[in-house]
Amino acid sequence: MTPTEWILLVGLGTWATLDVTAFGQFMVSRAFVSGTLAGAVLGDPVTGAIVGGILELLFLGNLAVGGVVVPEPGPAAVPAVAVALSAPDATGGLIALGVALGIVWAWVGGRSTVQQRRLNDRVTTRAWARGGGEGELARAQFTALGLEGLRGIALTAIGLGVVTLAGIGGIIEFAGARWPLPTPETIALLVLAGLLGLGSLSGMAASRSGRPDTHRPLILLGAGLLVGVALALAITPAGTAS
Amino acid sequence: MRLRLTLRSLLIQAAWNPTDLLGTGLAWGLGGSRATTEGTEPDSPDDRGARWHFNSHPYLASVAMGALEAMRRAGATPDERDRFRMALRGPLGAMGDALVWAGGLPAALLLGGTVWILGGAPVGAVVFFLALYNGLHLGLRWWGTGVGLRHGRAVALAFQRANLGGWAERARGAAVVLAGVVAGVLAVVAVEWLDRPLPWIAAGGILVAIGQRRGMALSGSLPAAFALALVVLIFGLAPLFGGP
Repeated sequence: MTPTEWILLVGLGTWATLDVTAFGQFMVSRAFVSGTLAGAVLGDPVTGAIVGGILELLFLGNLAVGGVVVPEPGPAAVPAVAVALSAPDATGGLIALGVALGIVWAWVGGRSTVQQRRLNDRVTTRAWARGGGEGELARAQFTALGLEGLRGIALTAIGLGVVTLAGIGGIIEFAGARWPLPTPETIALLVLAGLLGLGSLSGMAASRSGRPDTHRPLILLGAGLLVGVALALAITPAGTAS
Repeated sequence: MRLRLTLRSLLIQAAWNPTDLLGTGLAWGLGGSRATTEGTEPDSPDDRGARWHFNSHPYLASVAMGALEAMRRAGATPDERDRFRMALRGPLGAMGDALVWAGGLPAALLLGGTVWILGGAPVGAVVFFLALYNGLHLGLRWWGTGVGLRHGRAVALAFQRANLGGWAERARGAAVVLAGVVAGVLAVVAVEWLDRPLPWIAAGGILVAIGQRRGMALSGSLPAAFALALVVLIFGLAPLFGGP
């Protein structure tokens, strides 16, 4: 990883962290987006999309309803992709390691949000105690935004630092070589776990208040399944699907 | 004013905290808790500095911003505006969660993912997702401030007429259909990629069915914990497969 790539990845991770809650929520913080972009920075957007897409599926059922604190797979996808691309050819072992790091880092990110929000509480309490005028509130808003940015920088830089140190120490190479499955089977295995999240999301999205026993979810899912199979058969000649 | 409120709504969660939730962001978005406009009386000194509590879906908070600004211009008292702000919290939160987090967002994501799996360039699929999603997202914020500014305290009726509940229902239905589409596409890809695809496809079908049947009970971190356990287990068992 060159210094330029490192700076770009920290910038991407910071943007993704800010995007989760504090600024805009344009969904740069989705693992599929940040993973693909991290892959593009490192010269392999396809592997980035595979790692980001798997993390996306795994956390798809985490809906941020009611302001609950959820894991942050988007910023975590950046060091995850860096692991997967830490050798010239992304092997199954490196992809598995990357996804594992992404999962752990997403949980770390979620936990750090709790501390960040406590800091926000202190900052805003002071602003309101001073009268709650536009100037005081603006200072509180931008101080909190700055703190969130620092959290993003720290999370991504530490994550990339762990990847770099593990690479120097030969841990990634050793673990990658130890992995027994070929790349397609590795991706299939991780996608399998993700399908649990996909099913869970479809179950939640389909449930309608007052009609818990309806067959609507199954009918919609089945219809989608048929459309998906037909589309894939029509669009991708054998062996060309990404 | 509409543009200013919409832009400020992008930062409404910047200082999200457990005490006032979006209260600080809302007060800042409206120009501070003491802000007045020409022709209206300033807030009473007693109200100055009283912390605002507010919660909402961030995109639909623009409805509250527009409506509160319109009420202030119309001369509503701080007390009236406080009561109105409190009354808006529940509906704006619940509707946004159903419309966006449980419907529009997963639907757009799954559509972007489908474009990629079917052979689109990954960066192209990401750009497609971001353009589609943010077109709707920014449109919703813009619509929210507009409807709030136009209707003020009567915004609830306008909100009802917009039938966001119906849109939420459609978006969630689309998300379920697209979840099926992704599963179907992945099944075909498995046939093309894997040596023995049938056991994988069968296992995938079972997991989707379990996930859908259990819904909320299997949300959260369980799928990720399952994946992590699989990775650790396979690394641990690697010597049995003939690994180093």
